[in-house]
Amino acid sequence: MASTISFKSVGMTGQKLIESNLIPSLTPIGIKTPLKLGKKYGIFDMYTNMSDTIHDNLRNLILTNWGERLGLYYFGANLRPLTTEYSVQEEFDSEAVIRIKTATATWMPYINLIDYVSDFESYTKLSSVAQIKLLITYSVPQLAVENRKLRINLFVL
Amino acid sequence: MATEPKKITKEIRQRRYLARDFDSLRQSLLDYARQYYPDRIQDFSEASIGGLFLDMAAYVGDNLSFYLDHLYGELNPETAVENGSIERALRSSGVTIAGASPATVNVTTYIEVPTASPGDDGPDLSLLPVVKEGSIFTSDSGIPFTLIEDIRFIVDPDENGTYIINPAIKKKVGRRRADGAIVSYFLSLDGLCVSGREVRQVTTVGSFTPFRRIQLEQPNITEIVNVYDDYGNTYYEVGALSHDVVYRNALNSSSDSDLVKDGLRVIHAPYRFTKLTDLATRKTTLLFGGGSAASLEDDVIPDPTEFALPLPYSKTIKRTSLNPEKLLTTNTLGVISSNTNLTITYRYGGGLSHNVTPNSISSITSLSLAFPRNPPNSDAVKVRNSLEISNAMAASGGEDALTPRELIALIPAVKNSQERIVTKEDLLARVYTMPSNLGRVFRASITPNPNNPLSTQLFIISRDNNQRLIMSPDSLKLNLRKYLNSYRMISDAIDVLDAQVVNLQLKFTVVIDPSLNRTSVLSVVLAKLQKQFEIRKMYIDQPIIISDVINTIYSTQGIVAVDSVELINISNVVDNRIYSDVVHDVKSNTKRQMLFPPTGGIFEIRYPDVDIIAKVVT
Repeated sequence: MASTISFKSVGMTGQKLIESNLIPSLTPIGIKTPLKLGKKYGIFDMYTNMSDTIHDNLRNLILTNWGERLGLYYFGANLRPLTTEYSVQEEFDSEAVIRIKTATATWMPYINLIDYVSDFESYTKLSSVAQIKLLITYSVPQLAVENRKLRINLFVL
Repeated sequence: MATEPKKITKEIRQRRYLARDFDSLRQSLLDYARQYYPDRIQDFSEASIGGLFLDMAAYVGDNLSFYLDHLYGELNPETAVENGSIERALRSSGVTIAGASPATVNVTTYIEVPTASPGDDGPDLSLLPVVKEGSIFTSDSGIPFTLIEDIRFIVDPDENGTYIINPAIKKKVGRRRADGAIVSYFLSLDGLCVSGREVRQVTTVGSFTPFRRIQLEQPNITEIVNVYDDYGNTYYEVGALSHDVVYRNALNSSSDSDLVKDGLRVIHAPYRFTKLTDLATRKTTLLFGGGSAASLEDDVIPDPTEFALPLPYSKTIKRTSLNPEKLLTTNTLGVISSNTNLTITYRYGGGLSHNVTPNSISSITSLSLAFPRNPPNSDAVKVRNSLEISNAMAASGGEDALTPRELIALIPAVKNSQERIVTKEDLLARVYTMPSNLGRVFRASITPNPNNPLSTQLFIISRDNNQRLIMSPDSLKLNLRKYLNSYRMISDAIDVLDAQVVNLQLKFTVVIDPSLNRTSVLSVVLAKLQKQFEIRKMYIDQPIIISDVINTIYSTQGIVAVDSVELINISNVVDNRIYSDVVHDVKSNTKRQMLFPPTGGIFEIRYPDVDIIAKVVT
């Protein structure tokens, strides 16, 4: 007795396909910071998403000061000196915005900065250090990332 | 069984070894990561951690490349930049690192010396002083000049105890009495001065330390005058601590002392040191020997029996390698006393500014004057107060210290020099560079000894005060023997012989243009020939090319024809003129218009004014 087999049923089941590793797993792109031991992709924990990688890189760029990056002296937004030079928030903000924009344009030109919000937290009984909290909104047009927010904490020593 | 392509690819991973700097290393690492680990990481942008790691690896590689290049460059003096590397290269090549050089100048001293009694034809000998070595004169610009030889207005007494006035003194009549009688003379005499200051440094030496180093306080040391310790031991400067003898000049008291000022003495120098100069600071460090003075006996006479092959119980001897230098040298490389004071006297300073202009040295900073005949103090003081100084010529020889690059440029030249006489050129160079106070060889020539294949004949000749050739004095030959002995190889024998001086007379006949004055044409020809036969142009074994003589005559304006040129040997005494006693057959020694001297001979037209004879024919 002749049997009819549909071509649609030819091949592996979905489960088999995953087990045979023919479906590529997510490709690690960049290293997560702070560094953590990796469980899945190797020695370090990795981002597999480009937008998260860029988000992490932007945070590192803004938190880096000049002279801290080996071989690239002018890498970073260099905000640390501002925390001691400016006591007035308006002055800090105007200079910080310039520095962040300049650093981003130099090292991550594909990022489009949108908003900048700062909040000064003075010394309190609970906290012996003052903080400047920045909230930066940006987009990455090439990745269709819109209005993603990045929170940065700067400590005033 | 087929091998997986991916595995093969991983096994033969391509590595590039051309990357050397930061950018190329980073790019190479990036290419490698992208080629072999695309499934592990992709983000290597500058802002990423991956980029940071890449930068760090490239940075380390760049650093390693830099230091590898740097160290390699430091091995070559042409590319070395560190002072330490340049110093090592200079030392190993034998280039001496020196500071600024001092200037030397002849300073004329003027004194007024009274006559013993009015009208005397000369100054009072008892009032003639000796300006002692070490007196210091200063130029208008403040440069000190130290007298390095005694200026002796009076010469030491001869065997009869008679003092005489130095014949080199220039004498002028000084003051006269109203009646015209001379009461004093102005005398002047030159002495050699060298610029720079002389200082003494006393350093306490504690317990024995091998190869002790003592740094001198001042830079630009030009001379270590002397070094001695409290026990009276004199330390001698040597080129290297393995050198255990030095040469010292000793006054030549033999009959030829007017030609050879000093004799040469060889002195054993167990107490010795060598100099090291820092390239950056130009400060000098004295490096003393590695042995203690307590073991001096070991240093003086090494005992060859100590080096006998050990044969305690064995009846056979196996082949043993042996360093023959062990028999000739000591292990100590010189000795130094312990628990004493070392007194080091040295001279320092120099430079272009020390080349002071004429008549600029006029002040006396320190004067040491002695009166050998002990005159009354009041008279001596008058002579002393009359002393003035001046320099007729500018000081010369002052040079700024050579820069490291200039010193490096000297390396190729110094590398060719050596301390051994190996070639004919080495021997001639040694003869000609013997210090002039040991006697001056005017010409030297070397030929193989026809009777002894292991020996070389060295012909030498000197000049007298009238620039005429004379046999080299015996003292010079003795000095030369000692001087050459330390440089020659043990199997070499050098026979020092007198060159034969062949005196010649030149006769020539010419036709002169009748429209010109004969006398003036001849005077031009004679002047040209005298110049051609100047003794400084003659060498041992050098032939005279007669065609050159004819050419010289013929090329003079007014000479129409050269009828004949004849060279005649002239010897012994002719018309009260003294010639050499060498008889040389001109005819048989003339070949192809060339007159050859005997082996080790040199031609000389001894009296050019008389021995060049012209005849004019019409």
